[in-house]
Amino acid sequence: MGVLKLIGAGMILVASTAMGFSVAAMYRNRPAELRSLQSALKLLESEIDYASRPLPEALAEVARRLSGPERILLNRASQLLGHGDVSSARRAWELAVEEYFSASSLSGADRDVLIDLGRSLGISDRDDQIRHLRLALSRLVRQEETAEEDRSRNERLWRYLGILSGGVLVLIFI
Amino acid sequence: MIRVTLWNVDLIFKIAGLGILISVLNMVLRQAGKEEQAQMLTLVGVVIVLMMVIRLVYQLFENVKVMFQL
Repeated sequence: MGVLKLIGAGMILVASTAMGFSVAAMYRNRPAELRSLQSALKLLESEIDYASRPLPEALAEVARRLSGPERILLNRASQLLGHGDVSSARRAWELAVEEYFSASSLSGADRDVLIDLGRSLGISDRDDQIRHLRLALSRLVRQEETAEEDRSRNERLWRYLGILSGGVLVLIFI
Repeated sequence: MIRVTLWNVDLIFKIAGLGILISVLNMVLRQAGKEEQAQMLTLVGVVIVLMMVIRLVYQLFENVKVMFQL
């Protein structure tokens, strides 16, 4: 009986610690992901501005130069656009963002920035698209600032919270 | 009708452990600027411990009643 209790206590402790650390990891990853999204948007901007490629090609070209999860976002959007099984660029972009969002550490506000960007992609001339890309970029910069603030406040907290709440649960159940 | 069992000693250690963990958690929360959650946590801790000892408190009152033949 004693051994069984010990095993159970260990399992609860490990599980709650893992939960705390995974939440902390989300806080840690969000600023980095926002930064690489910014560089992806900058690349896309120069692709459209200087190379004046059409959107699917520009997306694929930027995706080729990137690594990490942003590559998946752009690749997916480019694929959806290229194969023509979606009704509009906006819809393709939305689908790609949803797919990317579920695998990333981004918050709902970050996703809204991306979705808003998709509304103006591919429906207007070059200058207008550039303007919207710049707008999204500046919004992402602001999101990154708040994300950094959140990280410094919450990362350590969630680690402690996981470990200690596991300890409390074990003590209550013993 | 006064019983002294080892079970009670275990309970004391359990409550002490809970107190330590909750006070550390309280400190962490306060450091992160979440004063309200820290207060709520303290309250929850008090309630949990109260639920643990309520049977013993009841026993104490029963014993007092028996002792003074009320």
